[in-house]
Amino acid sequence: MNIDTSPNITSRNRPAKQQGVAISVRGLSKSFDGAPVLRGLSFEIAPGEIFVIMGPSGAGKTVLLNHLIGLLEPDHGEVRINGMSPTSRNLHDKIRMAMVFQNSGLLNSLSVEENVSLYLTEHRLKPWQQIRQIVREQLEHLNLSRADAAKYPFELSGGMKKRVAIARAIVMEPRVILYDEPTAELDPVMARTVVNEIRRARALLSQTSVLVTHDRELAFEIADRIAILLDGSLLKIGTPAEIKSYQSSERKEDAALRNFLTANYKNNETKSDYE
Amino acid sequence: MFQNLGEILILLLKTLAELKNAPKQARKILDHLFEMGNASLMMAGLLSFFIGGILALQMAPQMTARGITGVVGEVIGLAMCKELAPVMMSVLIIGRIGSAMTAEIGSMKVYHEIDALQTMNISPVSYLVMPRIVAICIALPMLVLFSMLVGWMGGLAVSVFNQSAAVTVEGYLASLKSGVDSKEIFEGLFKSVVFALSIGIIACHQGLITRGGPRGIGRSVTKSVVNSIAAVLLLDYVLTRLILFF
Repeated sequence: MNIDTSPNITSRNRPAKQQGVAISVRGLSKSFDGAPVLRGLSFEIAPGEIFVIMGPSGAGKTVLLNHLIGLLEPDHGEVRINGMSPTSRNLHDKIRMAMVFQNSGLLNSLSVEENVSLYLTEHRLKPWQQIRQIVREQLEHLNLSRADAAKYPFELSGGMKKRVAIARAIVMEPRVILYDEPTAELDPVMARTVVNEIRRARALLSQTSVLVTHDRELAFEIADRIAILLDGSLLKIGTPAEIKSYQSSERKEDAALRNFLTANYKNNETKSDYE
Repeated sequence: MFQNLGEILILLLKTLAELKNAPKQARKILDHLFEMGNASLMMAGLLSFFIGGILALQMAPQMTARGITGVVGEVIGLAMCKELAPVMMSVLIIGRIGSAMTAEIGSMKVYHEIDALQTMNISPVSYLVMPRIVAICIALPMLVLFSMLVGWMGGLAVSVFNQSAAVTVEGYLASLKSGVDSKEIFEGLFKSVVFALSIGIIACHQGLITRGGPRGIGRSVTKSVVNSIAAVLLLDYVLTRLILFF
């Protein structure tokens, strides 16, 4: 795949390359109303890595992302972002983190342009004219027109909302970015645009990126490493090539992983059993 | 219940701490103020006119029969200032503004908009709660003042045109002027600020703790309205006792 390197972040506002951010998860467990959702997860994500989490619906992927950004606190274990807890306000003052929500999480009372510029305007990081320029360039980059910029979220399709949410996250120039199903509801062309954008943002900002997806092709194409989450437990972490190799594994202990991968493969045309 | 009270108190303290950022949120405060005024002014006028009018309709003939026509203006004036304008406007604001606040914040909670704000390091208290609280604390006293004036006019109109109450325009206004001074008006305005604070905090808190889908939002709005009315009546009693004490 070609990486689209056309800069929408112009030279005048291009951020300086920053050191990547490492994420460490140790013994993370979480239950809701007594039902365990995450069961003692432990893994590390290297600075600047694109780490993809795959798993069937209800495996705990979104709950894991919510822990990584500090929206949830673990029952047991800990998450550390460069050694700091994501729930500490101190961390967010030091390290910008952004998340693209599964349902986009756009503010319905704001227009697309206001949504995308929200972080920059609320924190008064740049003059308004410059913010406007950045926002327009970012929206154009995700194939959203000036007319779209004036619309409100309820006037947009699911795919457009998703692209606006991605634009909103990227203009923050975050050092860690979490994507929850970034290509869901997108047609293949738009999905490709989003993949390019994720890679371009990583190349420009040295971001550590964590993606949750059901999209097997996306995962194998974009990931540095893939984690398979099943019923709240980590089944396997490996490079795309390593993970792919398990589909043909005949070892008994790989059965669960093989079943997940083959079910996912088999049902890619007919929708997975897990979805 | 005690957990809710504790959470409301914490939210109130956080909101007060965020007041320093009010100038930054001036545009949002003005937007909310406009919305509140726009939504309530007409209804406030109508309600107040008829409250004053009904008071006059009930009392003026009785007072005339007892030969105390000279205090009709004073009684209506005091009732409007001390109780009816603050309480009735609060009930109106609870129904029109408090419920809308809860529904809006509750929907933002349910659809992860508040989570999105948090991930952008934007405090929901500073962005959502504080501007609404400041706006309601300005809007309600203004509405109460407006309500007092319109209520007096309603009382005047009904007293004068009611043939069984021998009240004249001059007599009503003289009685009103002698019985109501700025202290009574400020008493009503003070109550309304306290009511506004409690309505705003209860509405925002209920929105922030909303769970579930549309049904959850509906439940939150109902709770917000019921709790706000209870709080206003309770606070009215406490404040009246305090004012009488001093």
